[in-house]
Amino acid sequence: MEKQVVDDARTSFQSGRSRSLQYRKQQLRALHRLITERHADIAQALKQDINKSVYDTTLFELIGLENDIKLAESNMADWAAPQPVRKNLGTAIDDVYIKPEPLGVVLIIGAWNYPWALTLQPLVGAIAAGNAAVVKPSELSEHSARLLKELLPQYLDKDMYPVVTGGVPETQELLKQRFDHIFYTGNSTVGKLVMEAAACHLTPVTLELGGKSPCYIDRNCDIAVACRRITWGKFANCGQTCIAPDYILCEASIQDRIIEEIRNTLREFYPEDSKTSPDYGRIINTRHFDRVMALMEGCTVAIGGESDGSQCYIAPTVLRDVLPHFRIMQEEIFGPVLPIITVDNISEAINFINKREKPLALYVFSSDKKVIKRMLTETTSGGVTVNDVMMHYTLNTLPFGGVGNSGMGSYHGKHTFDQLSHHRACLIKSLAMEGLNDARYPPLTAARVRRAKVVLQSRLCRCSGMCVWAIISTIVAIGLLIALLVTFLT
Amino acid sequence: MSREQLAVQRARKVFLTGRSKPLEYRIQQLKNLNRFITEREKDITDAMRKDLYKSENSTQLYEILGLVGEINLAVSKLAEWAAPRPVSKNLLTILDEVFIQPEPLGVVLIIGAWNYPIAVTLQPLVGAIGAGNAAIIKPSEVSSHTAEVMELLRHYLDPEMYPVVTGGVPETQELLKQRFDHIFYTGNSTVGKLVMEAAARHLTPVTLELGGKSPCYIDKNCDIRIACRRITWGKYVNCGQTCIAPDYILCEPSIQDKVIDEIQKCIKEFYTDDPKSFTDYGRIINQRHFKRLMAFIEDSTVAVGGDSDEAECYIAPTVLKDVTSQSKVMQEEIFGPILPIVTVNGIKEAIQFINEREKPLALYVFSSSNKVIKQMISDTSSGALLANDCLVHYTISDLPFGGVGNSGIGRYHGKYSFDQLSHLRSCLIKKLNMEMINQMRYPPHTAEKLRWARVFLLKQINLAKWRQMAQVAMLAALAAYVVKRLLKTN
Repeated sequence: MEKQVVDDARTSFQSGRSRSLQYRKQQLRALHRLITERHADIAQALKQDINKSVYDTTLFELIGLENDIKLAESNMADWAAPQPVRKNLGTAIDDVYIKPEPLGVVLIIGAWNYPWALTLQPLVGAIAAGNAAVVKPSELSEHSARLLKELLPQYLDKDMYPVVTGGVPETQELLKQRFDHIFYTGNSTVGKLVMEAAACHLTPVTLELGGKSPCYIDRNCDIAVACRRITWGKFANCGQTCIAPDYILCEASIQDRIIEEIRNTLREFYPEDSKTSPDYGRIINTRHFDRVMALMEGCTVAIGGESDGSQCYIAPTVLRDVLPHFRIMQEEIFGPVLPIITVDNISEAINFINKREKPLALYVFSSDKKVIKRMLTETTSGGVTVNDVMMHYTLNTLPFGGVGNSGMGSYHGKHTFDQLSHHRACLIKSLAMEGLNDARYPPLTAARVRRAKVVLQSRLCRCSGMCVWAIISTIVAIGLLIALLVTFLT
Repeated sequence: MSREQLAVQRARKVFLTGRSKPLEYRIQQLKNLNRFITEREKDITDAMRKDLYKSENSTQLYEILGLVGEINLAVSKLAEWAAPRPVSKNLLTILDEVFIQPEPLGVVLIIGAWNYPIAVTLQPLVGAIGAGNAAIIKPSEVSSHTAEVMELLRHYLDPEMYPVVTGGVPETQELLKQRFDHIFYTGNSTVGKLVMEAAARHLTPVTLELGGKSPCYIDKNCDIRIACRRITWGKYVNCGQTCIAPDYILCEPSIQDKVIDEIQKCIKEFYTDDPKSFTDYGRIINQRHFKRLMAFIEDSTVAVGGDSDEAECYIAPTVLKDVTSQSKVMQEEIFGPILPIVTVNGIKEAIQFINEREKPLALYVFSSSNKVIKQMISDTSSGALLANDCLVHYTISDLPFGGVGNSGIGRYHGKYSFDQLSHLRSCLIKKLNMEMINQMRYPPHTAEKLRWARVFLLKQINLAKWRQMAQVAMLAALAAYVVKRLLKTN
């Protein structure tokens, strides 16, 4: 069945109808209509899947998606246009440019924690770049998967962008097929399997994975504000965010203060009780509930710790005096449990971070520019937000992705378009001026080689709009200044 | 511990000391690489002669010129490439610092090829060094003399940071078991799949510069003489052992004889009546490939050339006529001085023929008609497209060089090498003030808060445009003032 779907998508792609920008814009507009018209259904599905509030649905799932759709629609002509490049003397009269082209059929494997954003944002780029796409939502967020399967064919070209639902066997079957790009969001273990499957067909991959995103709090900083922002980022979606601050590193002297501030913030966010607050989520299923509960074994609970298995509810929890060898420090938590590990100073914090896999996100809170600089230059991570958490995700001019174990490739905004396009180098020469080519033909002499060197190592200006504007405005400005001087002198 | 394991371990250790971070170090290493090429020029050209029967001038033109150009470009541009790259902000981040910071990946493995051993092994190294990585250099054992010369790199480059590891299949397999931060492989698709599979185990991103059959369409509307001149040059350089050599010709039957005639004339002009004794005509790399190529000749109708000398691994510049898609020569990349002509009835059939096969690394079209060229571009895909010439797109450092589909993943040359071997880290630097604005995202959620969030997150600010508008306004004001003064004085 999966093979048939992929074959049909390929046939649709080869028909050429996704080439026209009109078609792509139409599909994007339809996608936009889907999320605006069916907003309530989507919110309902998310509530059933993971107890996401309507607010969080809008803020975390749909605004970013809307942004990307609007951006792609309004910029598509620009993005898809040939980009001229700098020439050299040998190509001075030729047409030299890079032409973005569709890849073909893209496989998008979504995740369950933000099932709409993480499945549809890659789709926006796939559509904008002119590809067909097979969309495989995560079966763990089953209501969203079912809704997507029902809705997408109602709005989009169902042969070009089919939805395939199912679990592990269906995904494995899909991964046996040949794609022109595979876009996977999930964990590193499955990421390796996806890349291995892709290797059989030499299919390029984008892997948006995860890891333990460290959060360093310097003692020189407004701890109250820092903790407020961290609390928000950690417990949104019940900690099930790939870029949630996974654990805190701080000096022992401020641990108590931090715990106090987090406690205050939690009281502010969930005035009654997080369990009854419409704004607090749930763990996706029993398996993950058990997993997160087990991680807390052996730890000292400073805040929270309560749970209710029947609801997959875990209270916002903070653990103190956690040590590196504890179970909770061995894997990505992906839950509302925030361990604090004390270090002596920033050097120890940096060593701690560098001993581990490169994280998807890194956070540092400090008023001291030197501390920030050290943390940035001496570590690496997919992305960084300083003095806040997660916000680098919201700016679509920043490429969003991991490095090392946290992933490869990046997307958001134009980056998705580029990731899912082939940038074809084009050089259009004429059959004239053959005399210029003599330098390269045998018999080769040293003189010919020297001539070739001059030609090849010259670089000409690329007459881009900004360059032309800069030159014109400088000339005009100088002209005016001269005129001004003249009038003053006369 | 194996020799390979040791080399990788040492490289990683040395990378972690941070020695390669300062730009001065990287520039110094690049300048040392330049020195290696100039001081060891004789050793390099001797080795090339022994490996591939390459003449000194050929080595200069095809191996060294490009490499030196890349090194000089990297040295002059490194500060610019390595600097933080600011991006457009939105309303929410307007007071923040937002940029992309290029960072080294870590330890890169570079697996070279035997056809242009210096160029395709050391050009990626330029990118690796420029980006601040350590690199294991594994030259191809097939071009054994050049591999030996590359071992001399230890006298020029930091030997711990950039060790050369020589050897054959077992040594490469041992290397591929180690963990790298990027693997850069140049070679064929079969081994490319194995490299990607090995990389998948460690979630290591790859650049695969592979090959395939690069088609060359000759339209009947074109100066056939010039076209054949350029094709002859492109085909028989390095005895056809070039990844972007025109692999086979597609043309209408009515011009086949003219094409053969012109190519024959050019062969005589370039390589004399006796290419075997001509210094600028190369040899097949080894017996295995020689036998492989002879099987193609034996299977088809020879129109030009066809003679050979097994003892010298010499095959004359050969053209085959009336080749069909079932012929042996059409089943794999030729990589030799054999040029089959397949006849097709016009451009539509040519495009169909091309699209039935794997996406090639390069596609060539010869025509005086812009319409034909445009059609070829829009209805096919390939790593690169070159109209009315062969190979020269390789020399433009601002064009990304790489394949698509079976012909490869990733791209390099110029700044692309630097970017390919860097991690482009997204950075958002906020301050701990202005906490009021964040209220809209904190629970308890309200519809009012959501409205504010939409405003802040959905608007993109293009600072460049605003700056431009401000400049125009200032110039207009200045102009108005000057005019007023002039009018007053008059």
